[in-house]
Amino acid sequence: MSIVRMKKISLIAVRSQKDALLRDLQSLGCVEFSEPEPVAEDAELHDLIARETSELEKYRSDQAGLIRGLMLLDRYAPEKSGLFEPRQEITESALLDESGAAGALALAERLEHLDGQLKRLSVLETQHKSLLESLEPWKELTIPLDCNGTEKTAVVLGTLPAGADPEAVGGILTAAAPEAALLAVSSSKELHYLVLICLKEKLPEALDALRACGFAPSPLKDLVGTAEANMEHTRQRLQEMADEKQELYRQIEAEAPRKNELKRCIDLLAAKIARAEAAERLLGTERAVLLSGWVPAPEEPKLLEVLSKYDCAWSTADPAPEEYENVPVKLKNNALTAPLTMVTEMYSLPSYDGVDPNPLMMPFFVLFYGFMMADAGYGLIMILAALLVKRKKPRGGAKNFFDLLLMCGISTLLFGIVTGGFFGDALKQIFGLFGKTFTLPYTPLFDPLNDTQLVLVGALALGGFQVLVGMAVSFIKQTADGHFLDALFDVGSWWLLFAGIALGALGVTWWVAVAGVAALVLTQGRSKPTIIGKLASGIGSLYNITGYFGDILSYSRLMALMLAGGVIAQVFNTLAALTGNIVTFFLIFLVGHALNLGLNLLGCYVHDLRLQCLEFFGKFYKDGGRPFSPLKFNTKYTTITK
Amino acid sequence: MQGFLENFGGMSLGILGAGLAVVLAGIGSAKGTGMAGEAGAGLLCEDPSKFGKVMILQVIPGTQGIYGFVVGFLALMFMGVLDGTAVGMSITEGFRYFVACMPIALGGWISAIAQGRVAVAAINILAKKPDDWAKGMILCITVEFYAILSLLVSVFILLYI
Repeated sequence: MSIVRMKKISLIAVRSQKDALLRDLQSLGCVEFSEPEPVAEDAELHDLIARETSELEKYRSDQAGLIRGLMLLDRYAPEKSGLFEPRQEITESALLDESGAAGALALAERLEHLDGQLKRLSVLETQHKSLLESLEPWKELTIPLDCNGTEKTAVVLGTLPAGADPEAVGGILTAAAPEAALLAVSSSKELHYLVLICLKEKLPEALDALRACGFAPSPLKDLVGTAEANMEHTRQRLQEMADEKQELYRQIEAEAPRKNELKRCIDLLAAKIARAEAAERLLGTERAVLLSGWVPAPEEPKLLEVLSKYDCAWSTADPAPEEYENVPVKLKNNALTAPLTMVTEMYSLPSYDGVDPNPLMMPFFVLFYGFMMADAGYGLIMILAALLVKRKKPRGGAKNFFDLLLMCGISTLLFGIVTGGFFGDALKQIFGLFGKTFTLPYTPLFDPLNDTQLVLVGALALGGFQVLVGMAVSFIKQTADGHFLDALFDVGSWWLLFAGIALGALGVTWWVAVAGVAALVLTQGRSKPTIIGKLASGIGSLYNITGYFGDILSYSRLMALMLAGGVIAQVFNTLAALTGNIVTFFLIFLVGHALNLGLNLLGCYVHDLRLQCLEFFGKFYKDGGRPFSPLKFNTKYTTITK
Repeated sequence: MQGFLENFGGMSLGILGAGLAVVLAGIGSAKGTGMAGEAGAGLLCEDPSKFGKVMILQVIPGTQGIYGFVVGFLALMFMGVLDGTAVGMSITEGFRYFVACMPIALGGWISAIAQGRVAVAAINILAKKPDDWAKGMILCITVEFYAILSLLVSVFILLYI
């Protein structure tokens, strides 16, 4: 329940054992590889030592290909799967077995090839469909489309705007070229489709006259035979293409059972990529490789046991305080506090010399959540949902989420019992439907809507308590770091002032408060060089009283959310009961409470988060830690069983 | 005229307030979810698989409409409109109900639009950094708090006047 102590490790191994060593370290999963220090300036050394290289790029592009293949399979042969489907389990040696890799890569390539063909067909299909559309108006034309006239006559296909009157245009045409004829083929909303036939020598005059009326020649190039024949042919081609596509779909779908093979190979490559990334952080000479990195102190014996099998030399050391900002941070948590890692990570990890906030925050987070939700029905739903999902063994972030949901659900249930809320006042309304009155078998401690002031005072008191705990943590931490006087001045003075205000408000004496103010004025400017500076920042620090005041008032949100959830639940119940019918009651009840529950789950989480990260962490937290990321298996689709 | 005002003046004011609580908060929510929906539809063109997350972000500014409805409903119920006992309510009393509805009508209206803007920005986060979309959701919920405060004050006035 604290930040794990790290040790710096330096190791020199012989090159021939490099790959085996990396594999063992990955299996162990407890060594983080640091970026190597720049190679010595010394020119002689510079030639001898170089950073290691690997086939990282090749692995990455292979993996990307496999992922594309898997996505294609998912797209063309989708599988119904739940949100928390258990992953396939596999032993480490089976995962690292490379014999299936070539097959999986070939499969991915084949899938991409098939997809390429499908895309090409789709483009062709669109082209043919638009051709079909452009031929449609000429369907009635019996002249072949490639005919541009006889020995003496010219034939031109063209269109006129729908607004033009064909007879008037015919008149204009006859005036320009007496032997010309304009034959209508078909009309649509926008255009008339026409054929112009005239003597070849009169063609320019005829076209000029028609252009003035809006005539546009629209030749159908490269087509032989009548429009009808062309359309028939195009339709045939479209049918063929559809068949071809079906066949391709079928071929892709036939590969669907091999999805797991792809997934396993993606994870295999992920392992190889992790190893290659680590290898690129090594320095190497002709015969040896040099590793520098971090290992958690409790895991050191395990690591040394593995290293003893190899021909290598190593040393471990505790980091010096000036190195602390580079030390990776790993939090050690038990089952109760681990779920809070979610909250800590969303904010920022503590620095290596900071405090692990999870155990401190856990009781408050869960308590506040229950306080805000405070409904036995909602609590039960949260507990059930968490237990249902937990049966499927979610991992990592999802596991933390549902563990947190379970804890908050229990707390919500308890607060619901205390306040007598079960889906708002659902029981009362349901009994009312049958003309009975419902009374709880016990008296609730308080009823949020009637004891509003009590709830508000309770919320502020809880807040005040959390702020004091935060300050106490800061006091202990500073004392442990050997800054007892700082702790006394920075935290002690404030406590003196708070105690003084409390005593004064109770009518005992105001002198303690005065002493607190004096202590603040005298100590808070101690880092300033001049007397005036010291006094000025001492007096300025009194302004922080508004900060503490605001922090504690901020906890009134606990009351606000508790009441809002309760009011909305009751309104939906009343609305449902108005219908006077048990069936419609449950319909409205379901919709209303689903809305209210969803809203409250989110709202309470966010406001709880805010109270922890702003009001609580602000008192003691030192953030900026870098997460510990050792070389390990980071599988996405499989779970490794030892 | 005198008789009409005595019989129905108070009730009309109360009903006007209840209506405004529902309608103004509803306008805000409609604008907020509308903006978020437009932005979300743009994202869905690129990546339809994000529908679930887009929908969550879109409905967040929808809650003010519910709050307005809750207050409007409570007001109608307390006034006795639902069981027909509201006739003859005094003008003073009707005006009280009107005033009680105003916090959520105005607070819900404007906070929903502000929240809609944040939801649009959060959809941007979802498009560019999908892993961090939960942070966008948290930004949205921050705005929600002020609608909750408006709701509570409206309910308090209704309960305790």
